[in-house]
Amino acid sequence: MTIKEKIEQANQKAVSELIDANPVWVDILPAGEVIDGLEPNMILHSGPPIEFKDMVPLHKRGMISGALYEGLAKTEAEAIAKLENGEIKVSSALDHNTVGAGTGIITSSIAMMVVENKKTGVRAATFPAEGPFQGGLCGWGLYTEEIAANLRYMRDELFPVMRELIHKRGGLAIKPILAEGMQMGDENHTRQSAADYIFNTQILPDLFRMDIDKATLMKVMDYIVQTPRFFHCYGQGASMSALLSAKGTPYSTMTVAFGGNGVEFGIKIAGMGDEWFTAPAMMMKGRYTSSKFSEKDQLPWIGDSCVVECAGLGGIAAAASPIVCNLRGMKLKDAIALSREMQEISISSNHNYPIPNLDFDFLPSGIDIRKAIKTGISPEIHGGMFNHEGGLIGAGSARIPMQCFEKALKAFAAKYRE
Amino acid sequence: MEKKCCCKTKGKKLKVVNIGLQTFAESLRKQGVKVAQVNWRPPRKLDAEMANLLDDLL
Repeated sequence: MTIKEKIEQANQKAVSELIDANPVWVDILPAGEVIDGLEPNMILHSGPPIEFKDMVPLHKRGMISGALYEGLAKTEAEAIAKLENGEIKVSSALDHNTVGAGTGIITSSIAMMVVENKKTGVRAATFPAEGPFQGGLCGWGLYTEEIAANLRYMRDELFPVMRELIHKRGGLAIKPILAEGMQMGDENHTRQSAADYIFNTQILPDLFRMDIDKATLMKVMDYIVQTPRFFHCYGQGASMSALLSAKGTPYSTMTVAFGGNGVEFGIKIAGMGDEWFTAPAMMMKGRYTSSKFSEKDQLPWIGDSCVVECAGLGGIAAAASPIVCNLRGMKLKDAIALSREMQEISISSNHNYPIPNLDFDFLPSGIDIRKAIKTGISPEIHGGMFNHEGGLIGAGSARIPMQCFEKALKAFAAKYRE
Repeated sequence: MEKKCCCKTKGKKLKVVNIGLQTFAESLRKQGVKVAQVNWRPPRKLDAEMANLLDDLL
């Protein structure tokens, strides 16, 4: 078999892990119990690995917040000293079975939603939105007494009920919700409004059937219903559990991880295990929340939520959500053209996701670095824009730097070329 | 003396196939011309190393 045939075969195998994945929400567990290799004195962050001293201020703040929340330090000064001397370890979330959305601050006691790919048994854990604080500690790297108290409230009062609910229910299949949501205007990165409603209609009846006092029931219901983009963590968990199932496929040139840390953006490919291929983090194009903001206020790409694009949602699914494209001043035809363009760099199509605006053609699936390099087309990824202080200042999209794909192909050739 | 037009399309209804830049197609459509759009872009110019790698691997 020639190397080209080996790559084709490997890519078909890897992309089938994305298409045939069966992600199911099965549990809620402390990060330390579900994330492989997460040590008690370790804090995870988004994007490729980076030392504390080299982090952008937003990430440094997140690290300090994580240390204070976890009780690894009593003061900011102590946290900084321990982060600098290595007493508190830092590690990339995407080097574990989790996803660092936004700043991606994850410590061992944070409660995580656990999604299991029933086809392979691979589990991925993602942190849920923090109710009224939204990004809060994990997403935005903030720490206040109120944020810490809310995280403990979620962990100690809401999640035991939700855990019992999901156990009694025997899990919740995520893929049908993603698929239905994309027939109703979601692209499952910037927008999951439809998925939220579908999730509610499946979960809330079971919640109301539970033998619990009404006050507790109402607290849990309020948390689920009032938290914006509640379903986002499940889309990321579903994506990561599928991508982890494809990771380590020898000879595959399919991407299995995307993420940025505000300094660098990085990718991984299935045939190269956990090796990162990085380039300077890119800026986003889109709409700001106020005319006083411009690109100079914007932090280069930070966050791992673009694992959903790696798995074929979000920017790849732009045609499913002209609503999201409209937010950025684009037309329906632009959204359709974007998804069609993504097909040019994809290995296959995902028959689980027929899209009305594509005349029910299926969404592209599995980004092939060779095709990206050949065509010069880079994956479109959606996301929120942060400013340097960590405020959300807009929403938009970016293209992954071509340098990431070129570095990956050189390393791939060094490993596999006969 | 009136010049004889050599354009074979004069007086006929135009049907255009536009290759590449969509703005040409759009401006013709605005003038009521039937246009079939073919999405195409010039091949990306790669450095020799990348071109060799793709020859071997794609």
